[in-house]
Amino acid sequence: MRLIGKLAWMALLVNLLLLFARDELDFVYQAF
Amino acid sequence: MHLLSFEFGVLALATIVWMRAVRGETRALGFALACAWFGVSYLGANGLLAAIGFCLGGYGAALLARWDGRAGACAVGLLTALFVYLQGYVFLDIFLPEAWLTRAVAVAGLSFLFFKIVHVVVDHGSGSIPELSLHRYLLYCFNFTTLLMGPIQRFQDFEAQWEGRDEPLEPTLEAHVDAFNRVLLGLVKKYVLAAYVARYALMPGAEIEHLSVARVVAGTYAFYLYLYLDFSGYCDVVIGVGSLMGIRPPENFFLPFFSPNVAQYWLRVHRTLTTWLTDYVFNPISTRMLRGELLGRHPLAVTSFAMMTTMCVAGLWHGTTLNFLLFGLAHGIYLVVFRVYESVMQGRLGRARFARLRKRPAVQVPAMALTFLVTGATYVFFVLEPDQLAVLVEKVVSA
Repeated sequence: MRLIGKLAWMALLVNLLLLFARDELDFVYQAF
Repeated sequence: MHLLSFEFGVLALATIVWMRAVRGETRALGFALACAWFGVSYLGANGLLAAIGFCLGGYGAALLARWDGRAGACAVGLLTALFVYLQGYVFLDIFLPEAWLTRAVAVAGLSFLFFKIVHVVVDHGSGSIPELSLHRYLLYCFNFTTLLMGPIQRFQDFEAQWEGRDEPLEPTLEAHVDAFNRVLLGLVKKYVLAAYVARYALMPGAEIEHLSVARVVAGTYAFYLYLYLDFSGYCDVVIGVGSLMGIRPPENFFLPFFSPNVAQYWLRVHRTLTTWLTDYVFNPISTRMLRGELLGRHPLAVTSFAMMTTMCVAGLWHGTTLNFLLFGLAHGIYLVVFRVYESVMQGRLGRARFARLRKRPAVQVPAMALTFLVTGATYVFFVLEPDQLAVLVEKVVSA
């Protein structure tokens, strides 16, 4: 259960980055 | 190369895999190559060579300190002079001719490197680091997770983890997920939260002629918050990467905005800097002074003097201009005032009663707010140049 919570936290952090750090993650957007 | 760049990601990932898969001297070679790549990317070839030269000077100083304490002290003095020169402190204008002030190389992160080197020299001299091999020392100095900034790791801690005597990460999936989440949290702090707060912050070198006093105050506190998010975010990333790699840098931040007083604040913000300053500036000064017959009778005066000196060093470590000295002086005054207050209150109420009083929420919450306000105000010295500080004073007086 704790592991699932941690994985959900990870997913949230990744989403926050993809949403709000677009300039820095330009290479990701370019690649896909 | 920034922390979210493709290059940094590849470097971090490749080093983690290498450090976990390979053992022996080959492991050190791969780590050294990763550090060299990082060093060249950030410092440039000339900067990296200058940094290597500086570190080799430090190694010589450490050997000298082991051989003879006085020779070691002289070597530390020379290193400090070289550091001051390379950093280009403004007061050098008074002592040196103008032609000498043109620096051939500027080395980013030199202040972190300098403190790491002084620690090694002093500890090797005193025997706290019994063996100091050159290659291990260079790996410690150029460890890419803490080369430019971040926690100031001690050599003993680095060596214990390098040799596997101290495992930074439990061999469980959960621990690995935690470390990875730490990296992500750091990136969110730095590239999402800090970037958001930066919109409202006054950045160093700001011009405030057309701004109201309220806007300057709000901008300064926003900068305070920005600096915390940016730096603690960086620390989170390198602690996460370091944990996965097998060399975890120490913790550096413990919710500093919840500090109930200024002394606690310095134990919660950039803690590795505070412990360094305590070990290598505050303790030597206070211990030596307390041994004296006259000064030994006035411990509060000695502590106050040692705190002021330590905070001035802390201020000048942050930057090369008069502003940073003022920042250090302000924090020194805060610490002295707090120490005197604590001493008076303990005298009046007794230690136990004063400790109970401090734990009450009705005292703690206002104390936290006051600490936040007074510590945040000093960041005006980070933001405004002396001429702009004069403009601010003029605005406050005329308001």
